[in-house]
Amino acid sequence: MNIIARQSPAPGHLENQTKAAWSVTAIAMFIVFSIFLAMGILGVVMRLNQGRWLALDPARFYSIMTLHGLLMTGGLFIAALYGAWYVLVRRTGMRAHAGIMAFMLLASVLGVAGVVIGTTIGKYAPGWYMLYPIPFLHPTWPSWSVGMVTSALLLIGLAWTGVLFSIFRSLGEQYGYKNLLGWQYFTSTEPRVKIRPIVLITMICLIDGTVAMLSGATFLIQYLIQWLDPAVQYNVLMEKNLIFIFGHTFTNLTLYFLVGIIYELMPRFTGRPWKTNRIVVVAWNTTMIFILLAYFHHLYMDFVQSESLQYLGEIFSYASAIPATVVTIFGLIAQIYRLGAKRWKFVPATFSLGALGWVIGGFAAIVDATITNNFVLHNTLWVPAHFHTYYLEGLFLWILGFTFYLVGSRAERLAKSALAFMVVAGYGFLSMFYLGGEWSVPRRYSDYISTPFPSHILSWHGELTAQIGAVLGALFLLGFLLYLVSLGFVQRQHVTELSLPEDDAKACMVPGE
Amino acid sequence: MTTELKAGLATLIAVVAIVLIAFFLWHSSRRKSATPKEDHKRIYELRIIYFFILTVGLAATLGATLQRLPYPSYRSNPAAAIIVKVTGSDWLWTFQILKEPQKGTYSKAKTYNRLILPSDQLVEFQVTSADVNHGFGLYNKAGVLLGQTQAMPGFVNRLYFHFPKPGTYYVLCLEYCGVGHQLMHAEINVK
Repeated sequence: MNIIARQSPAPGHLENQTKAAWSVTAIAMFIVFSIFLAMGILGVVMRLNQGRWLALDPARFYSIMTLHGLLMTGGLFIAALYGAWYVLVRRTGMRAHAGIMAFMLLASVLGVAGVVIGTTIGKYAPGWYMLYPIPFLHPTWPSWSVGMVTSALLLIGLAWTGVLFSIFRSLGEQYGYKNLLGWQYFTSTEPRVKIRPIVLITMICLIDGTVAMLSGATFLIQYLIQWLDPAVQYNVLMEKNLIFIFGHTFTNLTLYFLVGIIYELMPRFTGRPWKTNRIVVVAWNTTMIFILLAYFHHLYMDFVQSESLQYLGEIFSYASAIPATVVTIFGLIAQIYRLGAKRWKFVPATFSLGALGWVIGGFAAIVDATITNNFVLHNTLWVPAHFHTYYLEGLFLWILGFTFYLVGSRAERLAKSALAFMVVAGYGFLSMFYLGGEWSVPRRYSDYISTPFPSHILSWHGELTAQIGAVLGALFLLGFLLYLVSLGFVQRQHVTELSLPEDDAKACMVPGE
Repeated sequence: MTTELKAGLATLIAVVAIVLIAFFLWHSSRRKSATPKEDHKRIYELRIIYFFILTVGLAATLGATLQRLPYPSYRSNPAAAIIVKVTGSDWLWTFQILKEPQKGTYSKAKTYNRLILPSDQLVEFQVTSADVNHGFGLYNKAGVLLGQTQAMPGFVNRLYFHFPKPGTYYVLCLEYCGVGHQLMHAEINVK
């Protein structure tokens, strides 16, 4: 027996809780895809406005920008969080706590509604990371919108913290709390309690996620206090640090929750095992530290920040590239090299192409995380270029693959056509951001009409890249619609499929779904 | 070659290399391996080589790039000939020369969105903000970003810059600061 399950519930219970987890996750994915579609359309609207094909009031543009940023990052995090939870429940048999998860999802939806009301009716527009003190020093949005969006975000953060702790408790009960970081692999290559990579990676995410949520909750509570008592003031540099510990870690964890899913599901399609060993344990434990320390790269242009921290920012940004690519990407290569797959299935195709987007976006991130480059790239379009790469062509493709697996769609050809569409249009869309970054075009401008350059070089560059980007972004969304259609061709769900800890090795050898 | 261009070229080369590797993997996946265990052994040998190359490569890049940081303490001679206080506020730039140069033409009084400086002298911009965060982005006439620092309320960021020859330069706000963010720019005439 490879793994000792601490509590082995009856198979009937496992079946029921997997069904409940399936329902909650399916609802979560429905919500996330609705958010993605709506926010994707708003993204295209912003590029149209920057390209002068629309003429929005700047106050409206920036409230859309804020809404787009908050709901895209938040929505995709929900997909990653609930996806990882579902795969853990289905494949390890850990306790689901589906009621808690459903309640937390409801709380998140309420929070999302608060954000939507605050940014649409209130035109609240401080940007998604609402750099202090902009929420409080602006005449164009009413005070109630500050309170509403801050409270809504706090509610969402509390709900997610509840989810993190619920998963932590389930994993602890299943494997023993002291085994979750995989340190038992250092004392023996065949430890008594083995853990799957998804368990290890999720545990790393839970620890860093708690740090991120604490830091996010700190600045949001501070904001609420200042909203109630405007005489209260905070240190701007301290707030920036808190905001970026949260924002940077949160974004990375969205990726890593999904990476855990790939470690778990890819072997289902290749028939090749992908297991935890010492190297995997070292890689992910170091990643846990590196993520937290790399966030300093967001403050390179704050020259008053201690220079030793700027150094750390560059060193740990570089360091964080090593374990992730060395272990995960080579693990993935081992999964697919000479597989004999005459035709790729949709799910492994999205996992592999998503990994490609992750690596490309990661490289562009490293370029920008180099202080000398950041000096001329920071807050140009290079920034949305790199994070849209690992969001749109990275983790979003993973979410598409996971959801296809979740619903058990049979429409392989249609989904693959949609994927091809999204990859071609998506990289075209991204290349316009990169080109804009190359041309020093500032990001977060409602339009480029009034830039002061003779013959409007920057305006022309900004508008041209926005116009082409808008068309390609719209095509990407068409591909996404096509994918949504493919989800309609569902076969009868086999939610009873469980891989209990005892049959870990056997489960990994099942050739395909 | 500007830094942006170098960064863009490096990214382009990396992307082409990554895509070629991905294509090779996709192509190779069509054939089924007759010796999967040996393949895996080779892949993991390759992983060790990749690990060392990546680590050494990144360490070398770190060593090279951490020598040339834009921070004041990295300048061998930080004594500037001119000190200009720059204050960002919604949505304009205010300039005030705190230390006047020995020679050349320059703005004598406090100015808004416009500044005159002499060329070929080291300028220290002491950048701050009167309200929210702004970004002091220095552009040349061709629209190329030459450097930047944040303008933060309650803090002063010191940016050193040397304008080698006369010409027109521009300041654009590079940190989102509200509905007038895209309008917040200034002109620096270097005589």
